[in-house]
Amino acid sequence: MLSASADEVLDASDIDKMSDYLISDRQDGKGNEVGGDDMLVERVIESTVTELSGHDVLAADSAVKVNEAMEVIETWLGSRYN
Amino acid sequence: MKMSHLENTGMTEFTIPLDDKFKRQENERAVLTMKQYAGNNKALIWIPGRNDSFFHVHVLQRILDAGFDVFALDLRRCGRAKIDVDGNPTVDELLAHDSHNFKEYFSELDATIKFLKSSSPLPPTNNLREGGCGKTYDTIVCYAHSTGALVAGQYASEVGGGGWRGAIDGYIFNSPFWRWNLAWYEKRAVQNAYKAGLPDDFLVDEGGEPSDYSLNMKRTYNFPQLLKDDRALSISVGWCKAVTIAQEMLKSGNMVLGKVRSDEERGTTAGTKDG
Repeated sequence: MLSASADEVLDASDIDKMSDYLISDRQDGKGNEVGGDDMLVERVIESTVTELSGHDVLAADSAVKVNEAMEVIETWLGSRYN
Repeated sequence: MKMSHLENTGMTEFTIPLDDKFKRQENERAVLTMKQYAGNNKALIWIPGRNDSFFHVHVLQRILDAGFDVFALDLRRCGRAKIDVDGNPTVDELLAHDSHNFKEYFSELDATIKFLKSSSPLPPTNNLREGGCGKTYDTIVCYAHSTGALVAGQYASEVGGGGWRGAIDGYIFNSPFWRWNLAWYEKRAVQNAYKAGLPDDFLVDEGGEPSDYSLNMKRTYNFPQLLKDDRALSISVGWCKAVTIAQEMLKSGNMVLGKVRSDEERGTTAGTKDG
């Protein structure tokens, strides 16, 4: 789950709060097979005044921030699927 | 038709013909663009957001190098699917992404995953349904941005649909549209717009004004106009309804992304309603 403190469209804190519903119990009683601490991984692509991210962290103003987001993705893919 | 956006990327484009009750025009289609590496045995499906109706080619190489072949989906009437196979428009520019029910996208998602699970040779024409991807991927990850996350989440959570959703092993959500970023009274107005009996195609905002967000991204990445309009898109009552339904699915704990599906839905034996 990627979000950015410099998101100009959505609120990163909303994304953080609402994402917790993905790991809550279902009302129909069915559960996830996939469990454990790594079921939901959340990362905020932090921004500085000079290096902004945005609503789309993979198309941010700053190549540095795009790189930061891609490194998060690569790390997650590598740790989970390799 | 291959647009300049894909030149020199080595990506191949296929049409996903559509034949379902949601079609608005006869020439509507979805589009899948793909690139594979011989050694990769994992796949990433890319679902764009409402305003970012394109695959970001500047990250293509890094995804491939991470061991994942790339399959970028343009949902019906979005991105490359805003034109048909002959280059004719399928939708008014400002009504791209104007879905009134995200279930309409399930057909192209099913077709994409079925394609990824078929080791048959690539289609001899640009019709995706005439072949397979040449591999059977062990792992399929779905990446989705903003509104695309609502589409992916709803797709994953529709139990008993007979589709291929259970074949997705994991999700990457980029700024998912889990909640309206509005004042409480604005949010209530949007969420209740469809409950007031207004028709789905009634526009609560006609759009058309220059979008600072879009213009800023185009300055940085020079995305083609077809893929990313400079103007704000129209907002319909039906779209507000579709977003609200998906967001309420999340909030009620009924958006589940884990592998809770049957073997059939995991794509081991399944077909889809639309082939």
